[in-house]
Amino acid sequence: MKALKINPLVFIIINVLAPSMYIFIKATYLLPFLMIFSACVLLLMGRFKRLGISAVIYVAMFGVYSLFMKIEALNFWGLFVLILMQSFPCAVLAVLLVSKYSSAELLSALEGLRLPRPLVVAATITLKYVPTFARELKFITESMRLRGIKFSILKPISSFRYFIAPQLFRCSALSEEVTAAGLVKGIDAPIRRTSFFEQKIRFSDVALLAVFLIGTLGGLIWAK
Amino acid sequence: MKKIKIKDIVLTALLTALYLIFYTISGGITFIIGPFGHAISPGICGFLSGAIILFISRKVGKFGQFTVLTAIIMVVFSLMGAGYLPWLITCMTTALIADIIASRSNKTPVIFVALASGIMHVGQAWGTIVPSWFFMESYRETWIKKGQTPESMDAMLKYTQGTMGIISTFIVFALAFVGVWLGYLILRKHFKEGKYKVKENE
Repeated sequence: MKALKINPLVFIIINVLAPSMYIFIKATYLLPFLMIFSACVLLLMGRFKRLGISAVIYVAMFGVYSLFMKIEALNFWGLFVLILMQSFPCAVLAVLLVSKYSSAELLSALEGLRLPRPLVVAATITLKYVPTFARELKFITESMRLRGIKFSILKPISSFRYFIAPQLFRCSALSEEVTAAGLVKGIDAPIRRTSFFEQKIRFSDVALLAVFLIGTLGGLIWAK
Repeated sequence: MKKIKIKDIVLTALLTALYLIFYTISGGITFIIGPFGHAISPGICGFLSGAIILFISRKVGKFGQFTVLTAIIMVVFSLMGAGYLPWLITCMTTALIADIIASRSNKTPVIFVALASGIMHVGQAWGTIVPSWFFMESYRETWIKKGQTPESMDAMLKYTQGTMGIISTFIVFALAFVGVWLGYLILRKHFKEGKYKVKENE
């Protein structure tokens, strides 16, 4: 079966709506529904490895949660695990959004929400930079190793400085490059931006949104 | 008043990504501390990210810098499925106040930046504290509906209600305030020497 290509706007709409649904719908219904829904999305998009990893993480979290809830002294920590578990289906979709789609596709999708252009550009940059943080940190630790500088618990402020100062100045240098690239592409032009990746809403996107809405509506009826 | 430009927004966006890393780290620390840690988690984040706030103030130094930072955080959290309306309202309001206090130039005295950071992080904490003051029952019910036990909800609300809520607010403010001074200690050398000397923004 051919992997389905879903409009990123669908994920954005679902992720904005889903957390608010917990106010109206019982978690005992909504959480399994969202888990099954996101698993189906991964299946349809042919992301089998990611589906396997997500399933393992979720089962592990469920195990930890069950353990915490059995021991009264650890009940509170169960709250954190529960929050993580409830955010997990949305996080799966968010990771998909960041990893599967390019910056231009994300930008194009976010512009569909009619948010202010600077905010759309900024959110896209932030979303795309977070996953590269580990790589940046690796470069910094490598440079530190070459200079014979080490992180040490005994010197917390110095260690913190070694961690944060290079990151900050790297961001500063990177911002010059990103701005230059953006300006070349007319990011500050006061006209509506068109995109090579501009995707129309297709039948599959509408169907997916409909399943999500019917599912949550079902939860509302069930709650009554 | 200098207008925020696209290069400032790009820099703020990149620094927001770094801020979000600290947000995640502070979430881990909160997990270890327990219920009280949850109430003061924005303070822990403010303490760790004080250098970022100071760096934004020095490198951008224009009105709207903290509002943009907070707006990006809100958009990213909403996209990640973690948006919460009362939190958005308190965060955006205090970010605007922070901008009024410390966004006139990139040479704002550190004490004003620290004050702005304190207020901004108090806004984040109030996302939990304010609903528990005014809408305690519905806030509690919402979380119980989400699957939380009444006992653990009561344990958490103990640190956000009444006097404890005020104490938590002060602790959050103090931590974020001190965080900027820590950032100053770390960055002052970098701002005074070499190619990164702070210049008045054009």
